[in-house]
Amino acid sequence: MAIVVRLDVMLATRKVRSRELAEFVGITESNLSLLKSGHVRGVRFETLSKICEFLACQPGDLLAYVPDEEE
Amino acid sequence: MTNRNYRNTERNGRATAQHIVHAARALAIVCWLGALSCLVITGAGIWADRSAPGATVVAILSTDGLPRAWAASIAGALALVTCAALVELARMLGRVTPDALFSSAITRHFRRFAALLMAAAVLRVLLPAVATLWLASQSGAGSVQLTFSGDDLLSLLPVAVFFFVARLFDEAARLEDDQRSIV
Repeated sequence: MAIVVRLDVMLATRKVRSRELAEFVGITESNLSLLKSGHVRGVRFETLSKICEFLACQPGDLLAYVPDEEE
Repeated sequence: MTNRNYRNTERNGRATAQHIVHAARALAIVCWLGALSCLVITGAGIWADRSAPGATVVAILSTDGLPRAWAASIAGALALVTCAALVELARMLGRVTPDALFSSAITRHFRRFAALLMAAAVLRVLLPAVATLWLASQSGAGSVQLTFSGDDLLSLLPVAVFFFVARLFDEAARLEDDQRSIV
């Protein structure tokens, strides 16, 4: 996957628990866990916006593009 | 869209899904009753004694010039296939859940329903004709008159539409899966 989700890094940096963020954003903890592990096909702007608001960060702090390695 | 509107949309979506599931359950019961009625009415037409005294409602088997035993066999076969189609439709409706309005299992049952309905429509056209030809060959008749109804052939048209709807179900299932994978 070329897009890497760095939500777990931001959560650790801000010392925020997943449960608190999930409650604020209005999604289930399991969905947040899927998002952290990158096992989702997409993120709604609404979700992204709420996460950025809660963690006081930019979307670029949460998502990063990593080119796939050539085999 | 504000966050509150977004939540309201999600809540409305869940309520709509619940309504769809309730409607599907009710339709499934209707389909099961329809399947049962199909067998009972055909059975009554085949075996009921029309000369029974006091009978107010009778099922009459239309033979269309065929011997009664042959007509009864054809009617029985058609009733079984139609009943199986209705059972598949009922099973499909029974699998509808709020979390999965479109799933591969639902599409599979719907495809079987369409296939069985097509089989019934084709058999309705072919079986009497084959029976007439067979009887004519056995009796050594030189010529045979076969009658085809346009209504029977037209009944194949909805079946084609059902197969198209099954393709749409596949696409809907894919979109539903996408929707579930977006947080």
